[in-house]
Amino acid sequence: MRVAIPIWNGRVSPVMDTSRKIMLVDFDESERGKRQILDLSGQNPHEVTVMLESQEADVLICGAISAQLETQLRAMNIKVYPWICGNVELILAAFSRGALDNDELRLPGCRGRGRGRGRRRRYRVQRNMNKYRDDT
Amino acid sequence: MSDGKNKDESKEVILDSIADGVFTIDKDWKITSFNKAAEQITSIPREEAIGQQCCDVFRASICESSCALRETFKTGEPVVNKAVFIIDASGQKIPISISAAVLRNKDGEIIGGVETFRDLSAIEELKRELEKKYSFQDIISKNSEMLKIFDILPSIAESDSTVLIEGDSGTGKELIARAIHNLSGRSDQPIVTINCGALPDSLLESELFGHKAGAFTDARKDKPGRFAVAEGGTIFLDEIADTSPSLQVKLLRVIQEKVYEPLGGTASVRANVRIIAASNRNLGKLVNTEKFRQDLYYRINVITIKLPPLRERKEDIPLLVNHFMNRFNNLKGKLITEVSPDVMAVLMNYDYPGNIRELENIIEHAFVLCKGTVINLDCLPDNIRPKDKKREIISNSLEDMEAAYLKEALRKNNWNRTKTAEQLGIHKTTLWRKMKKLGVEAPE
Repeated sequence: MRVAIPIWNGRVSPVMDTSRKIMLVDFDESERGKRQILDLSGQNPHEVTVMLESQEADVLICGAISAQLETQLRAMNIKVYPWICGNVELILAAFSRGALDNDELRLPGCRGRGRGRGRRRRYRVQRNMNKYRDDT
Repeated sequence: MSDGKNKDESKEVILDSIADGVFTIDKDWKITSFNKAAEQITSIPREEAIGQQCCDVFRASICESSCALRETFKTGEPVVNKAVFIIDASGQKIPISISAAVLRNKDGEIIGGVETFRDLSAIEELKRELEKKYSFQDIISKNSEMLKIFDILPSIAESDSTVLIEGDSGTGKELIARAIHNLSGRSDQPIVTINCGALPDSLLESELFGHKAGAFTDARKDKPGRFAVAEGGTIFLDEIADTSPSLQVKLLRVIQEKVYEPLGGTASVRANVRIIAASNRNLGKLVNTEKFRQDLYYRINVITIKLPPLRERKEDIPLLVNHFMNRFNNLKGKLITEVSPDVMAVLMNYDYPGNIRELENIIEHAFVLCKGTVINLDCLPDNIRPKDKKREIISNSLEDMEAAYLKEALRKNNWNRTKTAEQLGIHKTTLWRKMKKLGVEAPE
């Protein structure tokens, strides 16, 4: 199984959409996994998606990711584990143990609740727009 | 001790009363305070944010590449109003503008940093609404001439009559043709475009009407023409002025009798196709000089739409720049948010012989060269960049606009001052005085 994980200073990149390096780990070959690092600088999210597909990545573990990019990756049958943070080695070890669910490995604001707060946000944007209109 | 606690509490109250998001970090990039607005914009509760790495909380597009706090630590200078996006817990990109500064202790040593940020979602949404108001079927304009065209397009589309679109190259003739097709009852059938100037005459005839096997060497099979492909829909004949007199006769027959003969064929084929023609030359003038058939001209000139060149609708330039920036940001995965005021001044003062297509190319060129989030003068193509160093920063002052307006009025009247003064409703002496004051001179 080939796992892709965007990295920055030994940690998972905070934002997948703008990350500049990605590590590919083949878990089948050894316990630690065979690793290679690819440069993503200058590539747009679509190009990154195409590259991950051509590299035959099965899984992506990443930090924050836009819904648009996540949908594209899922459409290419890449399983995405988003909203993960921390040291890359710890994350990979947790993944191989099947323990990525740990709240400590999740980004602040994404612990134990998952997604689905977009509606509240959209409501807030609409309310601010109405306020702005009333003020002007 | 209680004084210190009171100070902390009052600091918290002050920070919470600010409408902008504010957070502070220590030297290890860990968050030390996080105000109420920051909680609302990021949807992250304060207790989850405090003590965490700022990049894991803030999740901004620039965290890795050009963190504002890292920049300000390095230079000691504050960063002001940088436009970026953050990603909230629902995967939505939130546009924000951020400012950052260093925090120092009494001895002047750096002890951390402070970042303030403002949610631009409402403003972006309003911008989008405004853009929607000024766009019609992919065509963007707030020019009065164009708005009149937008008004009549639905009726034109419904009518099924032949339409002639006149306008300089790059003014959007094909977009208008597509809008007419999309609004018409034929929208579920194809629209076929052919540039009559791009093919030699014999090839154009076979391309339009198709050919039968054996019509000419290498014609082994029957091939349907564009009229057959467009059956039930619309055919858009671009650059119709470039067709030969013999082809003009054949086109006249299709329009008049709705029949044509494929090359090498004997039987006539019926055509149920709406014709939209376009030309970047004035067909009326070509008729006068006998370069275009009069009868065909009157057949296609049932409804004429004249598209103004971009230099006559300069109020659209900021809208179009914004539109192209959004498009190229999506296409190229970049995050360019604005053009600098001096670039906008250059764009407003340029004449655009290639019209909107040229403006699009200028923005694409700038996207290739732009390294940051703002397009500046260095990103523009050489030919439109101001050459005179002294005049490098072109202002958009009232005087500059007046000079540009006078120049345009004079150019339209072939630099005849009496006619221009009459048109502008001023005395010719006043015009002469204004020209002298503003440095407007007739070309040699």
